[in-house]
Amino acid sequence: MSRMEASATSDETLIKRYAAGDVTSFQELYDRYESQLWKFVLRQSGNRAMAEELTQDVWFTVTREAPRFNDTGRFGPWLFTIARNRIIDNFRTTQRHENLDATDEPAAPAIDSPPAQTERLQTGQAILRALSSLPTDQREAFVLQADAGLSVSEIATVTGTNLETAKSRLRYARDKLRESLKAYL
Amino acid sequence: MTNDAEQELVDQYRIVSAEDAGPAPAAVRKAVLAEAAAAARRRQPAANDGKYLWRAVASIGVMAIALLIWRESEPELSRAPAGELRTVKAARDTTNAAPAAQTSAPSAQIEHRSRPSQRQEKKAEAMPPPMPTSPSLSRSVQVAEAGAPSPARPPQDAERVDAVVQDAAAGAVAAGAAEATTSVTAAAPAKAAKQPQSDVAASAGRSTQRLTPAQLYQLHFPDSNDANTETSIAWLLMNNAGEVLEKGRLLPSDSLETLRIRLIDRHRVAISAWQSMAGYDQQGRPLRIAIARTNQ
Repeated sequence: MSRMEASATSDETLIKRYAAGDVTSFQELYDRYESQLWKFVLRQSGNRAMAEELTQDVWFTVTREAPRFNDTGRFGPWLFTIARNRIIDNFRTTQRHENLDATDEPAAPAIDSPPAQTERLQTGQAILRALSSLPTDQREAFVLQADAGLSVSEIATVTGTNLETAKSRLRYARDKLRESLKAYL
Repeated sequence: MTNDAEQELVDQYRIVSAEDAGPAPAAVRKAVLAEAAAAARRRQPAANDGKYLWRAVASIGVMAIALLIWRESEPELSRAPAGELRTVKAARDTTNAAPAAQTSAPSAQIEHRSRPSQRQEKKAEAMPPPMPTSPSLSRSVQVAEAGAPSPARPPQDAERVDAVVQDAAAGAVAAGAAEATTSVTAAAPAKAAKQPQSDVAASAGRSTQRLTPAQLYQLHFPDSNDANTETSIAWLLMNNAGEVLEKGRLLPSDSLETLRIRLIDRHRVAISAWQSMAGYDQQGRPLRIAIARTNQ
């Protein structure tokens, strides 16, 4: 299969082709989701070295589990579900998992006064800091939407919640970010 | 905050996130793609792997060649039809014309292998002949008991084995004679048991009825005192009525089967396979007689 053909093919078809032995299909899938998955894992782990390891593990899992990919499901949510489970396992192992499944909303810490550098850089750092201060499930929902491009229903699927919970987490996350970034936006 | 403001927040975040995260590490990409290729290879059935395919083809080729070699080296006898095989064996056994006691063991082994009813025959020999179950069985039993009354008689196995060779008469050509034999033995099994005579002689007709091989030999080859009974086989060609149409001696270098074909050509009639008998003449020398019958 040529790259051009692959680019016009759905994710689900590509993963099935890969399961049947077509490595080119996997490369196409990897190119499509490489950046999204990397950003999601990096934001959730908060550690670049750890994010590299986790990202690699997630893709390895995809290569192993490809033959068991559900025909009726979509590849994106399936991939991010694997990633989320891997991150949770990692946090549980390293005792760094902080209230991942909690639904209570801890108060967001106030953003420090902007540093005396360029406005853009200041804004960028402020956004990332505000994001990292969000509760894990809210941050997760926000990153899945903003970085991975998942819909609300897909976010609900990945996080194992219902649609309303996913919506409320997104709303809380935006409200807190807006509140924290008042000075920049 | 309005929807526009929210969208602006998300857009700004995306820009910042992309700048901060950068591309995924190249090392991760390399490792993942290598693992993907390896996993795909592991899932491939061995049959699709060229290496295994060639091995399979080579193995099949070797087996085919071995089979061909085996078939080529197979003895000629084992390829012959069953009836023909027995006839050829009988001819070979008799043509060798070795002393009965010496040749009986190998021929016994051959017959044992080629005849599934051998066990039944042994059982029949061990006890007085009951109701014969088949013409060949009754013949074998009777012939085994029709040994020459010589004091220097070798073990009975020799005669039994030679008598078993008579089953070569089971060919279609011998249908008439075989039926005659069957009727004799099946109609009066008790009599056959009491009077152990050669059924070959009985079925051959009145002139040879109840004659042992030695008596048959004496009757038809009275001037054979000088003949070498150990190395040549006496043969008789009889008709359905038991009359001797032709007789003679077979040289060791000749084959009974060749002789039979010659006789068929000469008499223009169907001739049964040879029935071979062994015994001892009055001087105690081993002798062999082969009898074939026409169907007329």
